[in-house]
Amino acid sequence: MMRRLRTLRRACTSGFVFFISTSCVAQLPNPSIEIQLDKFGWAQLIEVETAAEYEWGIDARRVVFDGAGHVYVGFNVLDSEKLATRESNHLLFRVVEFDVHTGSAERTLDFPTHNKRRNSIYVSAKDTLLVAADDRLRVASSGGESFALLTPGHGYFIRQSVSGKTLLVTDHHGRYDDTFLDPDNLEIRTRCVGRNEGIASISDASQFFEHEIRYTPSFAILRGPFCERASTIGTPVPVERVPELHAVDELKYILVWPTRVEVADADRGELSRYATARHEDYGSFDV
Amino acid sequence: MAIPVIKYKGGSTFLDISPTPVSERIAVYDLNTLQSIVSIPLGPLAPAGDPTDFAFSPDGKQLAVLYRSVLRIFRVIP
Repeated sequence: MMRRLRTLRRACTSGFVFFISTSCVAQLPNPSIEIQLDKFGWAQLIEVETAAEYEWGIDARRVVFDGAGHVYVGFNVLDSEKLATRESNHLLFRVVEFDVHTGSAERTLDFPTHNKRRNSIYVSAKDTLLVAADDRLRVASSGGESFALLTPGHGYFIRQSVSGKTLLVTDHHGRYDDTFLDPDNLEIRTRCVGRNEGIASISDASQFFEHEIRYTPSFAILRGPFCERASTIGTPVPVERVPELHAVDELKYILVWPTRVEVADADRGELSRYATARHEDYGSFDV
Repeated sequence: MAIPVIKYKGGSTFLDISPTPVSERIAVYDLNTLQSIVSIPLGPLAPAGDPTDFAFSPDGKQLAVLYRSVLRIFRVIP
């Protein structure tokens, strides 16, 4: 059961994307562009979950847009110039940049890596491309000159605020070491080590925690400035399972329950949900 | 906002076998009203056990979905 819940949590965490819109359409869209990645070296590789990945989970992002009309896709390819053994995989994390309008490839970047499942790509609010590969996070456009070292063998998570202006690297080794970075140059804004509780989500100025009160059972949302004490928003809510929390900005955040989604506004100091969407398949593990 | 809808299929409580997560579709909602905008089925191309990678364009009008070796870009808002 724990394994199931862990998997579910990872699925929630890694796949969540936000945007704001005002208009609605009701038809199923056809893809405007379809790109076969086989032409760019994509191949099916056996992906074995390591002990650290099983224990701490993974949070990899492999497709991302920038604001200049490009979409980036990352995938692993075998480094054909080196011998790959079971203990030593000579892999490349390949990032291909496509034009959103034409689908044509504009750039291909390769990054040596030994990880199969934790390589990720990110784009900052100023369209700086970042690549996490081989336990390193680097600015791709500057040739990898600027990077933050991630501890090999530990679980780590890289998260980005919805605005793209803040990056959080969490090194998880039983406790949590959190480093807040500027994604345009990887300069450290602030760092806090040895925390007992993991951050659930971030905005550009605040960190959010989910605090589970086991004896009730209920949970509360805590918010505070980076690396400072967080305070409870509203009153604890009775629950059977703690939902996924995703901050949209300082005041608005989304709660993903197994069968429904809620948007909450913390502006009034209350956990005031102003809208709710229910999935049809009540009782299943939809998220 | 977009949410991957994952269903758990198979498994047995009696035999203590966990069900297999299957990515079914990506549900897209308007963040202001939480009304459903569109639902993109993933089908058999979706990687079993892993969430399908997807991302919105900065203007929220396009959604890129990575189905293993195929990248599809959908215009979810005209």
